[in-house]
Amino acid sequence: MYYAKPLAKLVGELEKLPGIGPKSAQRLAFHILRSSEEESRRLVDAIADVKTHIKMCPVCFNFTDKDTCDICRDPKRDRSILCVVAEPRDLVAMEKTNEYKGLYHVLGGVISPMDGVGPEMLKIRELLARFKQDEIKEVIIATNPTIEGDATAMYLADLLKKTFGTDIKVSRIAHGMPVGGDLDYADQATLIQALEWRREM
Amino acid sequence: MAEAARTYRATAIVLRRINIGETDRVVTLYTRERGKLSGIAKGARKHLSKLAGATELFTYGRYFLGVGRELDVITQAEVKESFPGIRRDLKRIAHATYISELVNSMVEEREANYDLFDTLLSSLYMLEGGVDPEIVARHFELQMMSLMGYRPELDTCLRCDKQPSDEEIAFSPSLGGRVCGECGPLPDDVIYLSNDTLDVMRFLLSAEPQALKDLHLPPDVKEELFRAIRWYVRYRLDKDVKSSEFIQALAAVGTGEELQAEE
Repeated sequence: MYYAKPLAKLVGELEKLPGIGPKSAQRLAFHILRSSEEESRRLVDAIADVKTHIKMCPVCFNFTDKDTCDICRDPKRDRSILCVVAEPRDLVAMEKTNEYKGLYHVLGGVISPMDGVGPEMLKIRELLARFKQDEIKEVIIATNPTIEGDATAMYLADLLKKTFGTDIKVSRIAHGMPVGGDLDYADQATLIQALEWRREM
Repeated sequence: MAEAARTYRATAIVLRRINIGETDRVVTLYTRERGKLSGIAKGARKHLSKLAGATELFTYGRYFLGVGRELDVITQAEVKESFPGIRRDLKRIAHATYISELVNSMVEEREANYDLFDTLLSSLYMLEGGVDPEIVARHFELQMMSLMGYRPELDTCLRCDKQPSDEEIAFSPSLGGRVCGECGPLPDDVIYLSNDTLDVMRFLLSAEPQALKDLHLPPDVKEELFRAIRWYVRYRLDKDVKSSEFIQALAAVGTGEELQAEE
């Protein structure tokens, strides 16, 4: 036994965290052990807090500590535009742009046929239901430019068009060269996309 | 002991990939030279990574790998074809996923099968070129089964070896081919095929992928082929092919049986 039992337990728990190997777990555990009573209490409280207070917003399925999330309740947001993302962290990324002022809908994943994730396992029914209440005129699909992201975007676009016809504008965020990228290093697929999604200047 | 090569290169198609850690990806490659193998592509999910595009599903390319302790490491890749036409079409994505999943579940690790590799590659090119995805999938299934040693018997009865009459064409997925009703009662799982369907099956068993371009099949033949071959494949594989459910979910969009908003 290298560690005293309580310490071994902490190392063991930390090791379960993503991206944390035995060495990092040990370092974190010793850090926590050396930190003040107050500091470690704050960590304990923070962990307990997210577990008790965070739930899913029943409208957009983002994480929230309120009945409806801050974005869904914000009167300043444009309620005619809806941005569909796969995960809450994608919503965070979109929010960081400070450019988008509409509402969101979090699918909770992407269609991944090989992993057995079909459309019925995502928040798609709930998405369709939102068109009954909100004045949504445009849907922006912001899934990753991967096969699964492409499949999800096409499936949604198809479904929205077949359900609502031309009443609702459906678009998908552009993909191609990243800012600061280098043509010379771009792969075939990226360049094809960049050409396809080009726009007039 | 002679020291084994520390690095190697392989011509491969990406069958599957799983994200791990912050930026890495474990990629299942079906290589022409060494069969199915897994490698880790470090940093493949970073914004400017050159491995990002090369480790996308269905990508055909040349991969450079280093032998690792647990997993080999993909160090460089040169994309030969990324199949943009497949990516633009949901039905093609679904069928490309299906045939990739079939290969992934059918083959053993590190067992090369040049013919199967070439068949998979041509099937992807056929999907890319706009050939009916259902026909590509049925052709691939039959070709793969044959290459794996499970060519279905379409000419003689599997039980009595006699040539059955073409009045009643009974196909048994569990036995792997036709059976006649004369040498005994028909098995419970038989699927009855029309003459047209039988002809198409014979054609698909012998056809080169390029010959599929001009093939057009009526819906009832497609349906019979789908049922017979799917059950046959499922029987040999002994497990469900997950992506086949998605193909069915897709077919439901627009028929009124798709997902509806909850009342």
